[in-house]
Amino acid sequence: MNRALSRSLALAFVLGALSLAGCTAATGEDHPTGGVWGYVASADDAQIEVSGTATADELTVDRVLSPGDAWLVVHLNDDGKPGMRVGLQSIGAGESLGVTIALEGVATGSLIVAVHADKGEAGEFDFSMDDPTGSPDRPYFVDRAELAVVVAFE
Amino acid sequence: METTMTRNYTIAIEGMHCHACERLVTANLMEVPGITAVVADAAAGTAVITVEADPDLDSVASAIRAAGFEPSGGAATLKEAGPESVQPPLETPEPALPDAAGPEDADVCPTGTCPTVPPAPDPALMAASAAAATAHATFGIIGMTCSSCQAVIERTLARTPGVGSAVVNLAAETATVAYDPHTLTVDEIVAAIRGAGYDAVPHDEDAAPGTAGDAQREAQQAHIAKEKRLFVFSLALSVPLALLMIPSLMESVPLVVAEWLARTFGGAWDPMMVFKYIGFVLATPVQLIAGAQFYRGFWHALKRRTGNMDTLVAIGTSAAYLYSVAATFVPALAMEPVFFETSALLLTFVILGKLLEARAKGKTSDAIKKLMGLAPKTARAVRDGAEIDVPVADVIVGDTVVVRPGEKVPVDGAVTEGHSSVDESMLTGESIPVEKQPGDPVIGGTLNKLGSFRFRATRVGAETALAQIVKLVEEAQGSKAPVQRFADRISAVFVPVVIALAVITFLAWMFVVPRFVDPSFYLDVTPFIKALLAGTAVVVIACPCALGLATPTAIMVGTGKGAENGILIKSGEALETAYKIAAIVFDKTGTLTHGKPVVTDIELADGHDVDRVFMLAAALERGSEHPLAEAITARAKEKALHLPPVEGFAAIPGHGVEGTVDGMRVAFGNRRLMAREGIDLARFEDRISSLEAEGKTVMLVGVNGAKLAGIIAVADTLKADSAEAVAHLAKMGVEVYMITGDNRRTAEAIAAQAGIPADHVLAEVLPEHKADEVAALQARGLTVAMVGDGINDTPALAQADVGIAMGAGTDIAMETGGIVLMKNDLRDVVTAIELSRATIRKIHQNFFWALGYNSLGIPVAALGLLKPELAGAAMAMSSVSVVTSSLMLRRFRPGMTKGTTR
Repeated sequence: MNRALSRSLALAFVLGALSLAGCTAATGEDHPTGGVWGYVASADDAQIEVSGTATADELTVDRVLSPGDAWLVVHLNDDGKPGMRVGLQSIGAGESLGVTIALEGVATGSLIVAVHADKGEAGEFDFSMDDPTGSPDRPYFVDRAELAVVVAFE
Repeated sequence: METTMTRNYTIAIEGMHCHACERLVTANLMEVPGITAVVADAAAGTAVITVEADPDLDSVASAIRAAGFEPSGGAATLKEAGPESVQPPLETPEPALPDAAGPEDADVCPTGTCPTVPPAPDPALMAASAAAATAHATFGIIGMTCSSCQAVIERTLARTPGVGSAVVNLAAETATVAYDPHTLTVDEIVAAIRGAGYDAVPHDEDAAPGTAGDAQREAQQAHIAKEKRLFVFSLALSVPLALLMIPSLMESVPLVVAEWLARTFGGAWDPMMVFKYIGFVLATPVQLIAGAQFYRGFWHALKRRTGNMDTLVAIGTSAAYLYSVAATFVPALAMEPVFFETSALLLTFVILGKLLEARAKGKTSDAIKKLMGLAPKTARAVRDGAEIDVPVADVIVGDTVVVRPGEKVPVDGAVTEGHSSVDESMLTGESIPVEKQPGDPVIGGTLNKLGSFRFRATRVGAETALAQIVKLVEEAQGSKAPVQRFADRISAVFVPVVIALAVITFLAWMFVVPRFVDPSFYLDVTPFIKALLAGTAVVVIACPCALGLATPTAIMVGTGKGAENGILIKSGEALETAYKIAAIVFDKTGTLTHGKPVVTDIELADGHDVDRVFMLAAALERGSEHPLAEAITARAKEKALHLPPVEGFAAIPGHGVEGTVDGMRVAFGNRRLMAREGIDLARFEDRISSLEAEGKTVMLVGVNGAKLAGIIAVADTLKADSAEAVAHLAKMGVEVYMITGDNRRTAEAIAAQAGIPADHVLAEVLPEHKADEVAALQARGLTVAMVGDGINDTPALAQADVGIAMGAGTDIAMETGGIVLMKNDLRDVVTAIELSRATIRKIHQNFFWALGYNSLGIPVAALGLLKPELAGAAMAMSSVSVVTSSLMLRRFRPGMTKGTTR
């Protein structure tokens, strides 16, 4: 018993040290998952397909599969990252085909279409670029990448 | 000083069989006016009484008959037992250890014919029983965590109708309850304790040595085993929780789990929420299963409107846990962080602390375990003429038991056949084996070295010396020292004060601090979170469990250490008071001296030799019970002298004895006898006077009414260790006094040898005035210890702040003394005081440790600088450090070198 308890004591101290270190690091860190800051979904449940190109006024998504109610969000492509939002369309859970998104303020370059969850107030796009990780309507991630496609502009 | 002359008489009494009979006769004779002291001897069939005035013989006979016995010859007749100058055999030591047993050993009569004897005169018990018919029971308590638990049980019992008093010992985990058996049963007491949220196991008071607490030990073992399982369970769940706090794991693990969940169950999973779910899944079993015991304790304490460690742990862990649950499942709080690891680790640390504490507490009772381990399991008893091995529990009083070399003596008894030497060091600490021959007492648990012998069992089961010693030590360890009251007082107010402090801390962090400090001080958490964590840490760090352990663990180790050194400390109070002793009063006879006169000097007249003089004197004194005569016959026996028959024997009161030995008329006695015989002592007068000046009793041997054959000087000699002990006590700053009924000249002679100054000699003190002398010293403001062995010392032992009884003394002296020295070695008085000082120092150190953690920890926690789980670890460590500090007392070594006796 003595040895077991001594070991337990040593382990307890290690745990204490770990928890001290861990807690210190954790304090104030709201989103602990590094690059994945949205909702993780399987490729079987979350997909997006766009075959055509976008016009100045609209973009059509051929097929989208979402694990829940969602938003199709169109951004200007800012050097591979989502830039200013230029289009927004809500979709239901499951498969949606031929979804057309009205665009505004598109002039040149390419676009990024991402799928965001509608987890906040239903029908309201609760997402702020100022606090992306703290917003409820964050994007879906599949295979550790945001569920999104790049669409060329005509 | 007023001096009253006393005389000693021997009365022959029929029908006494045992100590119980002796005690009854003693008690009744003490009621007779004029009798100041009584020593009844069942073996001799006599009682020696000390009288100031000749008692009424009819009253003496009535007293004997009232006790259930008969004066020999149908009427009481008094035979003078000796001159006043000789200490009466009141202080003649009885056979050593079998009598060192304590009160109950005297109550069993080997013949079963003795009248029922009331228990030993314990003033406290007598007072209690006078108030109500009171029974006592001891219970093992399982599940106590701190002194607040102790207070809860004591309060619960105190409120139970029929309970007179209840003392709960946290370290020994026992409750000793005095109750009225007419209104309350043991089962009802157990139910009351269980109602308070703890388990209770009644001790079997009649069980064999050290087995009274077996059920408790089993229950405690089961409890510890359960706690161990809970600890492993909590640890297994807390380790992943703690690991999840490492940043890299904090990122990767929830992600991997979220991916797995998405693949397996479909849907979308937020890794941040998955992180919280993992925390919930891991922490909830810890909170609900491992933490259930704390909620139970909290609830029971709450029902009694009190608080304990369970209250603090339950509140502290629940605050962290419930907030985390809300942050996990209440959407509005979805973005708030969780603290599942705090509650789980806190509970794990608390359970670990309890386990370590249980282990350390177990070690504090090692001395008892060692003592219990001495008792052999079987005995070789002679039944129907055959030697058969029987369980030691089956040995009955009167059985003849055979002991072979290397075997342990199974029970107490008296040797009937054979010779051997027995190692009694395990009980007395005396390393030199003691020679045993027919008639000598043997003690159960001691080791037979050489030779085989048979003995008749006189005390078995719970009556053996070993069982009584175990009981005494257990009782002492279970008793509460006055210093404990300090801890109790603090603990009683601690929980409410701590909760109030925690609430104040919370409110201050929530509402006051944000007004005055920069938000960056919060390290990105909200004031609410900071307030919650600070309040929780305050609740946890402040638990008073270490404080509750400070005194009892030190007392347990101290009394156990005493037992190892042959010093039985009968209560925590005695141990504590011994620390303050400023004056110590030694009884002379049997304490500083051997208590048995021995021949010290022989002067021969021309033409005589030593053996011949002794032969003549011993032949005359052969049948005498006078202690001086015993010294002569003992010397003759030592020399193996043949003692011829005596013709015309006559005892001449106040003079001596005379008779015809080998055809010679021999007179043996004092100067007056020689004058009566017409023997001229002029030539020897100087020598006689010088011997008398040394405090010796001079006896003269006259032959044929014509000339002196020799002078024999007899004296009660100083024990070898007395002077050393006195010197050491003086060095320790203790005033040493000697008290005796002897005349001043004899007393001062002995005191001078012992190194006691003449002005510290209290001579010619009657037994009933010894207590007054002690009281006079106390009146000077001194804490006084009395060291004695006889019945006549009993009032003084009771009067003294600490009564120290010699183990070879009478049962009553040992019952009265708070400390019993089993070896009759006065150096143990020094050791007892040293041990007391070491124990009290340890208690003070423990208070420092316990209060240090709390006093330092509370402000640190209130300032938000201590994480709750670390507060939990600190709390566990405070208990462990206090118990470990007490265990350091096991390294205590007596300061005096014991030379060859150890």
